[in-house]
Amino acid sequence: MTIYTPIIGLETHIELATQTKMFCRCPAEYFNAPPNTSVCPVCLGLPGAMPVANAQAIEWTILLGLALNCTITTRSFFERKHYFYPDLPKGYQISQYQSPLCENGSLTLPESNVTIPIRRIHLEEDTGKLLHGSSKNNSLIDFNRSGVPLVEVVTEPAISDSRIAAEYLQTLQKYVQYLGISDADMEKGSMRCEPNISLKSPSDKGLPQYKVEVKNINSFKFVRKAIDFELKRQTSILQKNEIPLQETRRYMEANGSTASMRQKEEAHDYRYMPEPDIPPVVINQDQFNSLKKRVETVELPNKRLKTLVNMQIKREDALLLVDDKYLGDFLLEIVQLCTKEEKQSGFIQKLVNYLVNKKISHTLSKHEFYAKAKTLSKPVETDMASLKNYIANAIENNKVAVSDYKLGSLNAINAIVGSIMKESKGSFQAKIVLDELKKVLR
Amino acid sequence: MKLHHLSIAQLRMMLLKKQISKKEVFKYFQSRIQKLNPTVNAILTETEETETMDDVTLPLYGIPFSMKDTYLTKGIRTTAGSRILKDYIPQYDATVYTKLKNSGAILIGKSNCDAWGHGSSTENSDFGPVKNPWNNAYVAGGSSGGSAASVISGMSMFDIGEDTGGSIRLPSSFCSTVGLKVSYGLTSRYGCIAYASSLDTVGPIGKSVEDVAIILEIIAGNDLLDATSVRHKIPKYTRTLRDKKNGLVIGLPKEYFKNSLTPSVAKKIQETIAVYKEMGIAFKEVSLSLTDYAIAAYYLLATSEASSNLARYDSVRFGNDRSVFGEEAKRRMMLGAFTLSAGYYDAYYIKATKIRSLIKQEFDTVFKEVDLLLAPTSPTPAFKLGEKINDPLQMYLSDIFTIPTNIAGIPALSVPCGLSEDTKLPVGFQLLGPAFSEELILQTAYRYENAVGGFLKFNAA
Amino acid sequence: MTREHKQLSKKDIEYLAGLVKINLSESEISKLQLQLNDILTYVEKLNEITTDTIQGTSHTVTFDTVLGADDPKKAQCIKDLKGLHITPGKKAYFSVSKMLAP
Repeated sequence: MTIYTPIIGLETHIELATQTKMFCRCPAEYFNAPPNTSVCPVCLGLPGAMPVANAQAIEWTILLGLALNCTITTRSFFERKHYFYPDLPKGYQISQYQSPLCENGSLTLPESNVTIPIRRIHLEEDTGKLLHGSSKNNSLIDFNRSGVPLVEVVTEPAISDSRIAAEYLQTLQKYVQYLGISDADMEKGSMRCEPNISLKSPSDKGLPQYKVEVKNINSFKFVRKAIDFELKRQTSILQKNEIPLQETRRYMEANGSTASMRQKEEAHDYRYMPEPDIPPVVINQDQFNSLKKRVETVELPNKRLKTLVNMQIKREDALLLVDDKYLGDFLLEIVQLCTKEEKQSGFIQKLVNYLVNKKISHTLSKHEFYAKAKTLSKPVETDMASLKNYIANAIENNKVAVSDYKLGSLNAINAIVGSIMKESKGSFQAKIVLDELKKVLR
Repeated sequence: MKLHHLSIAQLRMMLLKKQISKKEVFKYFQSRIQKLNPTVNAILTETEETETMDDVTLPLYGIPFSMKDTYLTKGIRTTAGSRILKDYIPQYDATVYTKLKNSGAILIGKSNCDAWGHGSSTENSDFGPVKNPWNNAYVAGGSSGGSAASVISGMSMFDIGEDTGGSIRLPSSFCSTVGLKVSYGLTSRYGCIAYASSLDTVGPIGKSVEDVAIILEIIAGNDLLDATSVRHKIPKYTRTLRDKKNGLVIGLPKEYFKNSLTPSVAKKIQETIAVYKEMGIAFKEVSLSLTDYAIAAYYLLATSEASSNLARYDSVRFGNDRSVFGEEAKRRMMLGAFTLSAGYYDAYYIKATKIRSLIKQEFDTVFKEVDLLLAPTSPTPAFKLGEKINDPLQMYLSDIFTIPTNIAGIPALSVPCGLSEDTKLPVGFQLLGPAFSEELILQTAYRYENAVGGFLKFNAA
Repeated sequence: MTREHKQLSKKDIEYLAGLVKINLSESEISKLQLQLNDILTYVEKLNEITTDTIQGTSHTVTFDTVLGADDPKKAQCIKDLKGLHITPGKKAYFSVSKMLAP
């Protein structure tokens, strides 16, 4: 049977968490806002309106590029990408085609240790939202989302399977969150992923002659499912000696399959054109240096893992904390409160345990958490007189067990410890009870 | 009293001295519109007297003006001359309108124009052509035909036109007004319905050089809403208007004086040169060898941008669907779409941008030799209505002398220089200068205006 | 660099009309075909000039990097959408005849 090699590339859109939109200063937060309230002439595409690019969005895109080892384009410009769709008010999207802000980067994945080559990172604007609800004949449009900054990260088609694809996305999400440029929440739609999937036959010299793009994926789990489904579907077509259609397909959550949306024959001729209303964006050496410095001061996921492991935190716990930036941040804040002695005596791992096992709530303030952790970890002072009383009573009441122990049964002594713990309602530490009991019975 | 023959300064003085009230002035110009507009068709929408600032010290206090219907005016219908927007009531004001309102000026009407600024005769307006006030059988020029016609016939004191390939200057030369195409970026385009964004400029049309200088001083300057607007300080044009630059050298680009120039226009231009020579100004023949290529480059660049800028007009927000576009808009959108389409982009769009670079360079070189250039605004005086309407290419060639300046982004002022001997229609010449040389251009035009004792007044009606 | 002298076919005209989303009648197609081919023939003259080493000018501005600060106080939000085609009722939506979701 022929062996086909999966060729997978990922296009990921991430909404930046700027306060205002990409090309106007309307508030960018559209979640739960009443429809068409965060709109202005620019993002509504009214006649005569002109875009002014958001400085923060450009800076953040470059930060991401630097974090992903990209080359930064010194002189880049925006372009208009033309297509008609009701949620696109100008009939074009302002995007970047010829000169993305960042190019040729890479991202190394922590678990698999695979390095994914990044082709480009560019900046564009989001569209409005089409709502297909209530009315029979009409769809409604809300332009609140129109113009929200979107960063698009495009990998080379160098991903070999769905597991790596998901790990790449998770890692990318972490990077974005650590840079503080987006919450990158797939369910909320602030991070969206579109895999391009094809299979290379042994006879293919370059890339396969087709590729399938899958849209409508809103979780890491679905990314894996969609890719796996596609690879299977395409394999079965290739095995029939046919070539899968070049098309865009939609992921169907209900049954984990994909279905055709549109074929590339209808593909758009986007007629890219330099955006004449926005002067080119030039990044000078000073800006570049200062951004570079900033990226270096940000503790990115790989660096944080190292930091945590160096604190003598167990690797599996450290990975967990890297994964949840919020918890990780919280832990590091508490660690700052710790004394030198505490740091050296394994107290940090205890903090991690309390945090991970939710023994202490992370909704407390760092000071409250620290105080509670100290109390919990402190050895309980043992009232030896009272313990001795309990032991004497227990020996009296468990004569059989005592003699069994003396004959060598370890279970027997554990039973006695249990009874003492029960009687004393757990006022003693089991280990201390056991040691003391052994002493008495010796 | 013929208020419409007064200069802005004179009318302002009367208002200051309370010889006339703001209301009376507005009424006067309203009655001019009611009387003349049914024939000339220069004004598409008349406005009611709006609340304006009652501060007599404002530079344009009580001065009624018209504005090309490509400028957004909140609550006042704005059509761009197209049926697509025939019912469109804007939600915001263009920056230029805000600036004028804040200076005390009162909008009296929105001027007719070729739909979307596409045209050289205003015959492409979906609301009927503008007729040349001097002779109603002739065109007023375009695309800001209503603007020049309303100013010369005294329906408004001045107008704000829009010049992408000659749209302020051609009608100015056809109607005998002073029309300024500013350096690209000198004035804000925010709120101006875009035709071709890298070429569009917002500029004044007036009856005299001084009037134009007054308006320019108010409308020029940076706007945070237009990223392509200038960032430097704007000179006080009115204060330096009477200055005379020593040793001024004016170039005559020989390509503008070739056989395409009709004799009646050539004669007027020669008379103009003679007036300047009398002042002791030196002339020098120069060459702009790429002049003939400018139109071809322009129609590729401008239509590319037009096809993009017109993509937003849909029924979702504006009510009328795209089938309502007029013939010229369709033609330009399709040519533009072709220029940008896959496989042709390099050969057409990119080629045109390279020609633009060369044309810019050529102007730069020439302006090392001379301070300004003098040339006819148009090879002919106004042509007859209907004469070129079925031959788009011939129509495009009307702009042969105005387009190169837009391509290069430099300023040019069209100045009236009398009536042609044969058709008795106005002729204009233009002064071109390096980017942001408006000050020198206005000074030099002002010297001519004084030497000839002012421009023709429109006395009919 | 030379290229073939492009002339548009009827099919090209229909394709271009589709790109800019306009419907054309048969007679409009024929007329536009003639007129646009006229213009394309005219613009052929640009090929008389060699531009291989020339950098194109897409932006006429002489300065670059004009950006806006990320400051919502500068917002120009429209409070009243009156004048645009919005749905009646408390919530203002735009509407479009139903089509398949992407």
